[in-house]
Amino acid sequence: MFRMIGYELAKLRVQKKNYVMLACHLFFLALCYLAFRSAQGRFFQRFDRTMNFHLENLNDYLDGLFFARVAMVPTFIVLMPILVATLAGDTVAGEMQDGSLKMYVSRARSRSAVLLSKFFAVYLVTLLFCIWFATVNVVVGVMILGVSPTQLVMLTDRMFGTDVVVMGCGGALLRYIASALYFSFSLTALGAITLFFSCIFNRMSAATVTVISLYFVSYVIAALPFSEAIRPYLLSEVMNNAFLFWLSPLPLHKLLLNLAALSLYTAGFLLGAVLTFNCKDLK
Amino acid sequence: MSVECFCLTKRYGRRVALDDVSLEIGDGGVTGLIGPNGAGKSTLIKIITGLVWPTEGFVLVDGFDAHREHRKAMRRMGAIIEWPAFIPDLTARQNLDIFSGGHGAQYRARRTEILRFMELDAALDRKVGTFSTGMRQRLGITLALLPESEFIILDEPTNGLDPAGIVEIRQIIREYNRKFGVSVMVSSHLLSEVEQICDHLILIDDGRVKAWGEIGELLGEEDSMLILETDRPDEAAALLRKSAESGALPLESIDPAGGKRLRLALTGECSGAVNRLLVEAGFEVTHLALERPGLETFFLRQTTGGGESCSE
Repeated sequence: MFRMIGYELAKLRVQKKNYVMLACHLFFLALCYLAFRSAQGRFFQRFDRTMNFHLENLNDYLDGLFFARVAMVPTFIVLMPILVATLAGDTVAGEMQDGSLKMYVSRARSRSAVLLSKFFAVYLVTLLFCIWFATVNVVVGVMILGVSPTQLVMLTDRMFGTDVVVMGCGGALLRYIASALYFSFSLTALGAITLFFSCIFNRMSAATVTVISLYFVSYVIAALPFSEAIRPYLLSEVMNNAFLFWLSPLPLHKLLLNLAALSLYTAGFLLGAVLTFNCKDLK
Repeated sequence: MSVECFCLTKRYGRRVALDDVSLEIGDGGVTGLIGPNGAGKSTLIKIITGLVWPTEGFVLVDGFDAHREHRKAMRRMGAIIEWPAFIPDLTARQNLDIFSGGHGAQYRARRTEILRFMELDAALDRKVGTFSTGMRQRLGITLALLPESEFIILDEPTNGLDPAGIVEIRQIIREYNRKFGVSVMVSSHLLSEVEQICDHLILIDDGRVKAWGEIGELLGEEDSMLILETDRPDEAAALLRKSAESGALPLESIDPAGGKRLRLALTGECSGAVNRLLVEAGFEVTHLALERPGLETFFLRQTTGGGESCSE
């Protein structure tokens, strides 16, 4: 199994789209920084008006870690899901399309082992990308904006019932790392879902587009006023609750429920993928 | 090592791709798998290699079920189905290691030996994307032979090759079979190639096995053809039919063969009697030649002439 995971990683390593994603991330950061720089004064004026309490010298809190937290939102909520859906969609449906899957599966290896090795390879690459993106966000932010000893963490009122959290630099960094790791686990659930659709469809684009559509549709549904009852179970909500790590005290119960939901998503769709792949005709 | 198919049937909705196919393949020789487009050749190969599930029936490869015991069944079998789809950005070495799953010193030694035989040893660390079509096909055959295959299936191995490449592949298949005793099954549309390299033949048409056995025996059962050219072909044909009906000539059929020529299917030696009959009746016979049955004739008869299934 480890050897097969190694083979999958070797195949993923030479895919040019992964390097394009790395470049896109840097471009993304550049845009975030430009937006950040041009809007920060106005941003805090608006925020000051809507906050329930007042903080002096807000600009002192605009440091590298603040920038990294801001950049985390588009990176892990938009960019990474697209990357993971593309990666996972390519591993089965993409290889079906180019014919290499037939060559691989017709040898002395079980289909379940093939699929599980693809899943673990996608998980490892997702983890690597999460660590890389999180690190680059921090490094770029700190290089440009430095570090403040006190961190101002801004949260949306609707989601968490509070506006801001203030904490020390070390604590903020730890919670940032925890959030990145949570995202890597939640993106694995998305990877499992994509793998499932990749086993159903024979074209990579079909699998990828289906999953990305599901993800963003659940995002839209979560924003609707009448979705209170189902919102906690929607894919996007469960995936993006990494921001729970910023609350103090840490809401362990809610976090564990989220992790359990993500595990169910992952296990359920992975099982579906294994069963589908084993019965599939590789024409 | 052998491949045994038992009552294989494959249906895609209402379409029957394979209909009750039972075969045994593999005695160290080279078996040709031929048939018209859409006959079921690729479906049969994909079922044998475990890629497609049969609707009914099963396949035993080396005594193991190709689907339910896939790992054990495929241990000593290799196949290249359609085009060898290597990963172009990886080297030949990486591609071979990934797809064959081989590892260890013994595997590396065998890989080197086969690559040397295929004249690809110098290209081991080149990216497959830089390979020519012929090199890819040879690499595909190399992959089929790794890590320790005793039976290989090649689906249209000469596709896209120039005449020199076709000759090369033919020589490789024949030499590897003779030198190393590896059984080979080749699916091809090039009947001349099949006739040259194969000992056994499987002819599939419309999902059914129409013929199966040693090529020499199958072709030997075919009637010879007499091609004659005369000044009045229609009248000559009428005279010959009358003689055949009376039992004077062992003729099975008389068909026009373009221009003033007739093709006579003989069930016995009678070319001299035909010539004498026509000349004595005042016909001018300008061409008379006996045509021995070839694979092409056999193929056309079996697939379009409604020939009855014949097998060992």
